[in-house]
Parts: sequence; structure tokens; C-alpha cells
Amino acid sequence: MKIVKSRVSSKCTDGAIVKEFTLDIPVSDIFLQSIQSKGEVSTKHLGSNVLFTFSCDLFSMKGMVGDTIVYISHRKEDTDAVQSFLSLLFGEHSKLCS
Amino acid sequence: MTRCVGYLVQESNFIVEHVNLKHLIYLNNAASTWPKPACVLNAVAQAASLPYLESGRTTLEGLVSYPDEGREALSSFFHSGDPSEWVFTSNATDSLNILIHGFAASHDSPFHVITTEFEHNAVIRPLLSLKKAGKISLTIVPADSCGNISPDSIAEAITPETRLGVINHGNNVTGAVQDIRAISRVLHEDGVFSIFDGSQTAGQIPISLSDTSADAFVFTGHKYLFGTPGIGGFFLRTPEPVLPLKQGGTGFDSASPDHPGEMPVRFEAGTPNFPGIAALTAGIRYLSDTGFDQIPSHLAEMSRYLSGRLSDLDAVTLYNPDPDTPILSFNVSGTDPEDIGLVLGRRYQVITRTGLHCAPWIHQRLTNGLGCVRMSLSYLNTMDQCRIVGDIIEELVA
Repeated sequence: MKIVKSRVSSKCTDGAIVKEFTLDIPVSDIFLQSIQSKGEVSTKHLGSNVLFTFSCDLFSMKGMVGDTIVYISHRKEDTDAVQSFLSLLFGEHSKLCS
Repeated sequence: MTRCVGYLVQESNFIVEHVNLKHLIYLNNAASTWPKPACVLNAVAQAASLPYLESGRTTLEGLVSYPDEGREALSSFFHSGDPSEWVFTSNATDSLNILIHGFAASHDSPFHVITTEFEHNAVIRPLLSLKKAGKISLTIVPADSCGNISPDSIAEAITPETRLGVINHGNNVTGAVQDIRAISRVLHEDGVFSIFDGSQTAGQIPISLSDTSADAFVFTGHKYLFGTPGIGGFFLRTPEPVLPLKQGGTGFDSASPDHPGEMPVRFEAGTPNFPGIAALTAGIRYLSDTGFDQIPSHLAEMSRYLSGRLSDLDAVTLYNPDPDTPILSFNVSGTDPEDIGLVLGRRYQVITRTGLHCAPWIHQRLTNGLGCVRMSLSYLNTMDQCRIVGDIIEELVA
């Protein structure tokens, strides 16, 4: 699982930034299971759609199972740390699936 | 009448390279209308491909003076008088800043301003910046229980120091339209200069400025007038109360060190947005040809249908079930509006707008500042699209 592209989606008045990440493959239930040990995962059903939220000390991530777009919110000063963490998160999942 | 829309004309070209627009249901028209009529796209292409007429000269026969044609179209469409009362700007925000700050600049001492809780940040922020600088005091008139600003409440807010009223004509969250005739009369009778923000009404409902006492009326091109982003403007009945904030080239009187004071160049400097004005003019002609006998009935039919579908759902809070313009803002119990917008957009290609819609005051009252999902329709939406959207939302909240 890799990040194909990212862009700043919005900036909040409290200094947080929201980035939109496009992934090479859709978020799956297996991916959500794989990140449970790294933070808190919660899901919500909207009709047949499953929305998820992942939160840890560094950032929170929001998206939809089956979709390639996720939104990540973090403090601006944590940008580098978040990038490293995400590479680890998505990289580990790739290894798990290979 | 066949509603020929731009993206169908362009289907085989670059526009559909990345996404399948055939299945897109675009309900974010209160931000920018899409699709545009084919005549608008053609007008942009023509304006961008032909040489621009030199101001004040006829070097080449047959070329169009886009600003002149645009002003005539505006004057006719909004039933005003002299076309030179119309000034072109970049958008409604630009217009409101020019008018509000230009009016304030003409006053040496602080004065009182009346506005409403319906305002967009394009009004709120300029007014609050003037208040912070100690140049104005401000009264924010709330809406009544029916979601309207009563002319009486405006009259009650007037004090001996009141010089300016900035009033939202159509709200971008509730779809409520205010009585411009009555409110402008109340302000005019007390000698209060009035600015009406018509961003959400221009092109949606018939507006006859000659029947009002409005001193200024602001529009933007890229919403319901079906123009492109980057063009807007305002009507100004008498220019003297507003000082111009920009000076520069006008194409004539170049030897003078002073910027010309006459309308409309008093507020225009630099090269105009010719393709934008051409698009706006084409959009106005499209609306005029379609006619206000057809437009409101189609909008009302779609709006009524979606309002009925949403009202039938227990989990849905619809903030104005009977809007004057086709805006349906809602929340789903226990669900973040951003989540609804995300699912609608990503799963179903239904484009809505979530959040505060740049209108924090009315959102504070309606949603405790938490925001909502807004669906806004244009004349180019269809009943079939409304049925699909009704089914999708029903499925989501079931």
C-alpha cells in the first residue's frame, strides 16, 4: 500500500492541517485490522458504507472502506513525523499482504 | 425547451479525461454552478481566441466590446437604468470589499452599520475589520421565527449615527430571500446607504432594481448567472458616497495624473476580464431566453421534491423545508456532516458542500456552529437527479 499523491485539503484555526492522501489500493478491512495495534480504530455504518477513523498521538485519519482517499489531520509541526509514521503504517500492511 | 449543457458538448475532449462526469450529480451550485450552458463555453472560447477591441476605437469592424455588451445585458436583466451604473469586479467578495471599505473611506468619523445574521464572510470580515479599527459600530439583526429579516427590525435598528446597511438578499444556507423593496425603502427613508448582497439571488429570481431603493446591489458571475469564476460586479445608483480604492490605467485620459471619477471607470482600473465578461453576458442571455416563467417553476419542483424526501426521514433535520431558492441544508442525527458529504461524493458522485459555508453567524444559530450538509440546485439539475439523490440519502440513513 503506497501513497500516490497528497495535497493539503484545509487548514484549521487551531493550527492543524488536513491532508488528502490518494492510495494505490483501496482501504480494506484487513488494513483496518493491521493498524489496530498502532492506535484506536472506530467504524460507523452509513447504509452499506463503512466509515472509519484511526487516531493516535500524532494524527487522526478518516476514510471509507473500499475507497482510495483518506484524510489525515495533524499539527503542522508534526508533518515529518506523520509522514514517517504513515510510510511505516502503509509499508507494513504491504508486507502483510505480500 | 432543450437544456443544452456544456459538458455534453465537450464530452469527447479533455474535460472527461479524468472522471466520468456522466454520472456526476452536482449539487454545489450555491458555490459555483456546473455545468455551464454551451453558449457560455462558446463565448469564453470566442473571447479568448479573437483580438480584443481597443477601448474607444473601432480599429476592426465586427469585434465585440465585451464590457459594453455586459453592462447593457446587466442593465436590461436587472431592470436598472443607465448601463454605466454597473461595475465589473472579480467576484462578489471583491465587490463587497470595494463598496464597504470605499463607503467607510468617505467618512472621517466613526458611524453605525446595520447588517444581518445571514451574512457571508464576504460581508462579515470587512465589517469586523472596520469595527476592530474603531471605524464603525455594528448591529447584527437576527432573523425572525420564519427565517426572515423583517423590515421593521431593520427600522428599529436604525440610530441617528447609522449610515450604512449591508443586507443579505438570499441566504446561502437556508435559501431565504429577503424583501429588498421593503428593506431598501426603510433604509432609504432614513438616509442610510444600502448595499444588498445578491450573490445567491442573481439569476435565480426576477429582480427589478428600478422598483427598489437599493443604493448598491452586488452579484457574482459564476453562480446562478452561469458565468465563469473570476467575474462579478455591482450596481451603484450614485457613486459619490463610495470612494474608489484602486487607481490605474483606463484606456483613456492617460495624460491626467488622476484616475477618472465617472462611472464605471471610477471603480475599474487595468485590463478587464474579457472572457469572463463574455461568459457572464452569454449566461444572462441564456437566462433571459429561458425566461423567469420557466426557471422558478423547475427549481421549485426539484426543491419541493427533495424537501419532501428529506422531511420524511426521522433521522434528518432539514433547516428550511420551504426555501425561496433551491437550497436544502440538513444534518443526520448522530453523524458528522463531513461524513455524509464524503460518502455522497466518493461513493455516489453526488457533490454537496459541508461545513459552515462561510456563514458562521447563521450556522451558530442553526447548527451550534457544527455545520451541515448543503445541497444547492441550479436550473440545469433534473428531477431524475433529485430522485436518485432522494433514494441515496434514504438508503444512507435507513
